Amino acid sequence: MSIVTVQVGQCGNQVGHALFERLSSEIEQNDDRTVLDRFFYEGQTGRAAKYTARCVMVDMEPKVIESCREQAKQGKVFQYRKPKIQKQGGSANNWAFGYNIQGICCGETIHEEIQTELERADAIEGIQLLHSVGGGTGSGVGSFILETVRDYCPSIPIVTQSVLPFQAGEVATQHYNTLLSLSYLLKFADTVILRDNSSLVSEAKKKDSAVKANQQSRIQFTDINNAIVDSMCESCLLPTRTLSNGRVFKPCHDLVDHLTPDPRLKLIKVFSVKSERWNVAMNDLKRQCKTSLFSTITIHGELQKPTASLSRVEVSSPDTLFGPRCRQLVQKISGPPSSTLLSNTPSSRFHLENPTNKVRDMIACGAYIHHFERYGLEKHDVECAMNIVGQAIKDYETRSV
Amino acid sequence: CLQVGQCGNQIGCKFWDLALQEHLMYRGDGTVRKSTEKRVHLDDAMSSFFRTDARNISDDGTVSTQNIKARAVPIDMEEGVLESLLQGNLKTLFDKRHCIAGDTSGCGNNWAVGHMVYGQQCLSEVMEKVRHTTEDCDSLQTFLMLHSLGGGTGSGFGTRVLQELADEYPSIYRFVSPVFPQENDDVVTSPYNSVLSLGQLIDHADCVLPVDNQQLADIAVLSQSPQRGQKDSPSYQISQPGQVKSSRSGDRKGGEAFASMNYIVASMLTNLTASMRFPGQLNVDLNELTTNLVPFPSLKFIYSSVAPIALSKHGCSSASRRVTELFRDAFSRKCQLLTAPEFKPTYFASCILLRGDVSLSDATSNVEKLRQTLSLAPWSTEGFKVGLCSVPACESPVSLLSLTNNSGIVQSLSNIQNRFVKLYNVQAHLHHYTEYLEQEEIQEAYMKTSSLIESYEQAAKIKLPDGMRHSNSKLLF
Repeated sequence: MSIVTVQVGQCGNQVGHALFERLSSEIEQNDDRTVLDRFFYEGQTGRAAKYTARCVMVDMEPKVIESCREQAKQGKVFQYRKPKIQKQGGSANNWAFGYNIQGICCGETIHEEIQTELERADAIEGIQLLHSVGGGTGSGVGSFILETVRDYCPSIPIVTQSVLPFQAGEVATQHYNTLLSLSYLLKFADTVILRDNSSLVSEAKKKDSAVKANQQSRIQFTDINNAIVDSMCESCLLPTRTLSNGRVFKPCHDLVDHLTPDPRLKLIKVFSVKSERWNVAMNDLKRQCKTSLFSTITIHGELQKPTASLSRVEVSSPDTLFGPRCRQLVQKISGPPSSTLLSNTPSSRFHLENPTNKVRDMIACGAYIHHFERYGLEKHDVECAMNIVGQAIKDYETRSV
Repeated sequence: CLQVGQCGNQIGCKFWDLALQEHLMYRGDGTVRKSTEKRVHLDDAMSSFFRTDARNISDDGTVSTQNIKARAVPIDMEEGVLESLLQGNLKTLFDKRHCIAGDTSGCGNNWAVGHMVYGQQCLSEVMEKVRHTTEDCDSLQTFLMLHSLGGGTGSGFGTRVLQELADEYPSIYRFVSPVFPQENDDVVTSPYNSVLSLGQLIDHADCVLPVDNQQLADIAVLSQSPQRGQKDSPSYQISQPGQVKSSRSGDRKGGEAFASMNYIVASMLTNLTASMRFPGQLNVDLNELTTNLVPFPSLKFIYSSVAPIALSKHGCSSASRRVTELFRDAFSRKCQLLTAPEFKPTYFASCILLRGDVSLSDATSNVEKLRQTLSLAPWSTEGFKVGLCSVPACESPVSLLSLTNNSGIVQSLSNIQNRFVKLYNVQAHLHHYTEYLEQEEIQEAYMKTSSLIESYEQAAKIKLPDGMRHSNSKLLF
């Protein structure tokens, strides 16, 4: 069963590249045929590489894709197909430009590329969209692609890794772009896994300072991209396998069915902790994520549970910590143990409320709106997006009591 | 790049010199070239600004550095400056076919002569040359115009060309970097020329990055401090701008001073475009700058500042501390390329473009600090755009260009207006202009500038409607 990855914009392509590098190194290390077939295909490489990524790379300027392809070429293990879309100039950090101009201009070519990848595989498990929502391409073109893919693949699960911009400010128009993208994600995706740049950096700093006691941490995008990819490989992209009861465990379907069974509640947040001790790991995850409607905890490696002699210490069980709708999955793999919690939590509301409030302020003052109007977006469209997002906020509020 | 008039061409020369040095130092993927390479690949990065004729490309795909041409259209209404350009160190960079010189008489520091007279005579020739240059481009995105506002050619003819570009190429961005005149400018009619030009810039430019000579001169002095390690930049040479005209401090010392000042503007321009040409963790294109920096259609005047201005010994500072110093300098009054206002301005939007060895966490933690220290407009508390380009500038391992849209521009615009009013009220020198245009047109330009000042003042006062106050400082980690 194969997963087709569509990576859009600078963020999407950089995260995607980190993912494929990690997957290919796992394949080379473990000689794992299943991972290979799931994410890559063989043939058509010549001597340049061993296999090709099942991936559609989309960007409105060439530098990032070229750099990813060049890095893959140097590794000589896997390669990317040459994208048919060769655009220059980017999307001006403008959702409307990305959606109405770039999206519509390249829509047919993107459709063809995705269709080619879908038909190439024997069976499709799911489509994953990697993008950011603060800029122009990942948000605007990403929304366009999501809408059209949902249209011609109504039954394939679409799971997104959507990166939210820094809360202190990364792009001046980020609130508009985020709000508009979220409305499309809520409408057309099955599961939206939110990644917040601010949290990623602070987590990376904590991890780094634990290692380098006195030096100041210098976190780069590669660090946070690797953190995203680690948690993807350890939880969102678990391998398919046949369970003891004969059922085939299909991670994408499972993710959607278990974590987002209610189509009104699609947002997932990711929490992780690296600890060898079970209680420490569970309590830390609980501290990070106080309430969870639906959860999956994936344990990677072996965690030490408290021994029977320490009877005062109760074993923190996921059921009691996170409610009855919490599953546990264990990956018996060697390496440092880690626990990842995928949670459908009401605290995702903040990521919906924040851009809504900011956009409301900015529209009241008329700030930046002329850039969006220039490319076909009207105030009415923004209001529709606010309604969709507002409804999701209400849905989460009712479930949080 | 369209460089108009003496000032525009001199800055242009410095800009092209620096841009070429950058591309000869670094390849398009960020790796360092050997300084002995005489033939280079015209990679994608370089071809954003440079081109060559197909016949010059040899079988291995390289081209001699002598055959590289700038995508530039140098324009002047007299021959002196263009002659020295075509005979100076950079003569091979400029395509002689693309240079335009009107007849030898120049514009007499008269905007109206530049705009109306030469505007009529030479415009079609200029647009023809522009067309040739644009046809050589695979994907044209932006025009960059360099000129001064105080004289006649750069201001008058330059704005005529700008207007025509807006008509003929409406979807191509127009970035303009004008030099505002000084208080004690030796050109008496500079207030008229400036106000008339401003009227045009307000209508036809997408983004204006003004600089002023006074501030540039101050920065040039600061950067001449003995710590400046010229040895650190082996391949960089300051080109001679050629003979400086006698109407502007004609002695040799004046020429050298202008060379340093032009270099500062060139440095701003190369940093502005670095992310378009070289790879980085977070790329920023010029169209993104327009989206981020211009929150309302008329508010398009942007302060710029570059740090470091003087290469002090940074050996003992940690990389993070170096970045903090850059932020501190770039937001100080002394590093602004346009005189900063006396009052504390309200910031509408800022763009921070970092080059070199800068980590993401350095950038974000400093932006967070800025949010606390700057006076931000309430509707734009996250109005920051960050860019990270991996390839450093030629002479510094890390550098920062800050572009801010703030209400301080009101001061510079008001100064120009006041000087205009002093002359206009007594109708001094007005007859030179009324020969070619109606008084109403002059008044219209003045009104446009006034209403721009008013727009900035109003934008600074916008408060959020009551009941919409949200806690901006609450950040969820």
